[in-house]
Amino acid sequence: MGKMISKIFGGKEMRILMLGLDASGKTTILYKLKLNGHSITTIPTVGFNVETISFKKFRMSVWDVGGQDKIRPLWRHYFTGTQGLIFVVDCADHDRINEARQEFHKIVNDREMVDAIILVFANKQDLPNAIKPHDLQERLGLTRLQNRIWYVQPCCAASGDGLLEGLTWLTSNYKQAMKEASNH
Amino acid sequence: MLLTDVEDLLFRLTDPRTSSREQDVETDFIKAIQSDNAVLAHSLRTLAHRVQSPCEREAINALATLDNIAKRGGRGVQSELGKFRFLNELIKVVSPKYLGDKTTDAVKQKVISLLFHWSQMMRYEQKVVEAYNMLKQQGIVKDDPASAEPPPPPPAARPKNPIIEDEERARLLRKLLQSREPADMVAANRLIKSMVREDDQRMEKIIRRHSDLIHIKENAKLLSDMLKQYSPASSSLQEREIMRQLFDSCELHRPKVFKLAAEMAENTNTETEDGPSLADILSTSDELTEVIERYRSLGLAAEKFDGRKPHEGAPAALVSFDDKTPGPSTSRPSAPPLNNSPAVQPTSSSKDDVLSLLEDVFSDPDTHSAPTLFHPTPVHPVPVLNGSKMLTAAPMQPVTFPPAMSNISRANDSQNGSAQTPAAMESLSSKPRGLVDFDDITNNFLGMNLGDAQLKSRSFHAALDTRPKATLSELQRVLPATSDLSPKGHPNNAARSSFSRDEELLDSNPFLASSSSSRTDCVKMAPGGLNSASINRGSIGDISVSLQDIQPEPVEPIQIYNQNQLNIVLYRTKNRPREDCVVFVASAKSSNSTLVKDFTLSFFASKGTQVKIQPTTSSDIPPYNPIFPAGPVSHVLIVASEAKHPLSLQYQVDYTLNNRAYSDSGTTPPLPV
Repeated sequence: MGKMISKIFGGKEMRILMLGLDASGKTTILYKLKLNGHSITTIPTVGFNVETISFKKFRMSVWDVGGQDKIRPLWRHYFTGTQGLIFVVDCADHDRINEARQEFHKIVNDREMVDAIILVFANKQDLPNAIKPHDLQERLGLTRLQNRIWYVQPCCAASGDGLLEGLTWLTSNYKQAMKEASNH
Repeated sequence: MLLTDVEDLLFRLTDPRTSSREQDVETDFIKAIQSDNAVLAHSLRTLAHRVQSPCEREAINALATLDNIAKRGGRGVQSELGKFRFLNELIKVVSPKYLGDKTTDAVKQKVISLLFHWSQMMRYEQKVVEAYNMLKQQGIVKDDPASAEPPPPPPAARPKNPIIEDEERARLLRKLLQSREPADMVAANRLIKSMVREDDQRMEKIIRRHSDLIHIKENAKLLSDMLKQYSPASSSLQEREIMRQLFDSCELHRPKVFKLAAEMAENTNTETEDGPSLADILSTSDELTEVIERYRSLGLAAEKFDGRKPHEGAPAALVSFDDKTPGPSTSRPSAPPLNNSPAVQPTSSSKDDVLSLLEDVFSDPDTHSAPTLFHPTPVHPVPVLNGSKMLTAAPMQPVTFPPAMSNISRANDSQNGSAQTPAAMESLSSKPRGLVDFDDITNNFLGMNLGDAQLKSRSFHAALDTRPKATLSELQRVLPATSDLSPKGHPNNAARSSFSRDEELLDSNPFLASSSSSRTDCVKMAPGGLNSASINRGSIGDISVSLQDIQPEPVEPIQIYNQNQLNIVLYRTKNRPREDCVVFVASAKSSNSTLVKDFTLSFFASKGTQVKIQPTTSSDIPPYNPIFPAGPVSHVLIVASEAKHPLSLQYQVDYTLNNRAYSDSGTTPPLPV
């Protein structure tokens, strides 16, 4: 019986991988979403956090993986089965945009990630001089991606602004991607 | 958002009077079309219309807006763009059947490039791809437009982290991450954390290695610089002490550098990313070796500084040096001094010293067996260290010794030793030269000693090895205790006699005069000449032996008193002013930091024995000074006895130390007569 239920609803559980440079705000986003808007104080993640988030009719297992330089080589171990990538960028960290771009392309070009839809959280929009979303898409080289479904969502993880919009994009595009996948 | 508001936004975006893009307007527009499908449909219809505008500026602006919403609008917008309803409007602009003839080239090119990029970017929108391919088939598009921007450069491949990217662990981690068990999640996290911790430690090690190497390099460089500046005359004690510390540190770190190099050689494939390179380590090792050898070649390694913890082996080296100095002139001239001179071999462990190579080159093959036998450290245990306080009073002595000795040997030949001595003293700093001199002596004495060199060497060694604890006082003796230890009648005796011939020369040798040897001090202190010929059986009151005429005998000195850091020993001499008379020298030395005043020493004998003690050289014993050694206070003691067996004497010693008067008496051990 339990198996039946998980079969029926399991199809709706979406595997989301959330990556980005260290201190971009991944863990804050995860728990802001998980705890319905409550904030927690985070420390640099060594390893990962995984939470199931229910949003509208969707259940998502969201993997927040530590982004420190040293453990980035471990990212690839999480790729398998990922349906949606959330790439979080600290838009106030102008110095590391290029680094973020390199990491981003390494992820999305991985064979196991070609089918994942891409949501970029342009985080820390509350900070002065934060890179605007349309700027970010150029600087991350999103516009040159071929045949990828992506979207840049401005947000502020601390206040929660923009996070739900991001999830909405994910769920609606996930639906579409599923539909297209079944059509082909 | 009202439709009129969207109209307003659209109008502003495509306004032919502006060529700049208003980003806030774009963002608002995208929000508007995302929020409502009707708005989206209406907007696209309006934009399609404006692309066909005869006003080129308006058309270009409309196309830019379309490009922007295709990129930023998300899938909803893209799928609307991907419908033939919209795409046909774009195709009309470039198709000669419709507006193609009227459209400007700039607009045509822009439309074609837009369709091309959409066909690449949104390959999932099949109709965009079809539309573009159709344009190509009809010949409207001949060649694909060049990509606007080159693809992003591939990120630089970074070196593999041996721990984080370890294959074994990667497999395990993957397995855990695939699992749905919460316990496996915890385990995966723990695994990652342990990997990171391990890697942190690795990095720390690399960094420490790096800083160690830098530290070693700096020390070697500093010592090297100091050695360049160094001259025995002008360098202060403090400088030498610093150099010694640097040298110690260099020596201490050398094995570490070797270890590093070995580690690096093992891990070249994994640890090349950070930390010192193998070449770096090897060059550091070379620098270290060079500076250590230079330091040794200057003879500084044998120095000892007061207040410093005695360097292992160094004091022993000093002691053994003194112990064997007479070696060349007495029993075994060849190998022992060569090997034992601290300047040559400061510690028994420094086998790689370049000088030991010299030794190999220069020494006589016959004597070759000897060197290894003279490891100073094991031969002289603790008491030596105690006594060496006095002995090591002159730190530079060991350095000066080899040339001085060579002088003595030459003097032996030329009978003109004192004249040569200053020159010899000057050649102190050039050790190898001293060695060569030594070898001269060696050969000289080898020539003199007619006995079997090998045999002598062996017995000499045997004597050394079996020797009991040597006291300092013993070491002070000019005559080597070693030769005495060998059995009577041994060939060494021949050499011994040769030593007595050298005595005058030894006395006048400035090195020995400045040394702590009791004999040399006696020379200075005791006036009066020799009258060993005056033999008067009966009373010995007339007999007098000058310190200058003392002929030391190679026997163990006899300690009779050692309290309050005042040490009194008796040396038996060869002097026989009368057949029944034995002459001793009583020598008192103080290790106190203050002056010992009013020192008197008297001896009493039992019946049938006469004792005469000649006036002391001084009633004050100077305080211990490691740098400028003071000589001991010596008495000549004449004992006349009928008995042919060892006898004991009563003695009394009085002195004042730190304003306190001491008076002690006792019995000497049996004295050989």
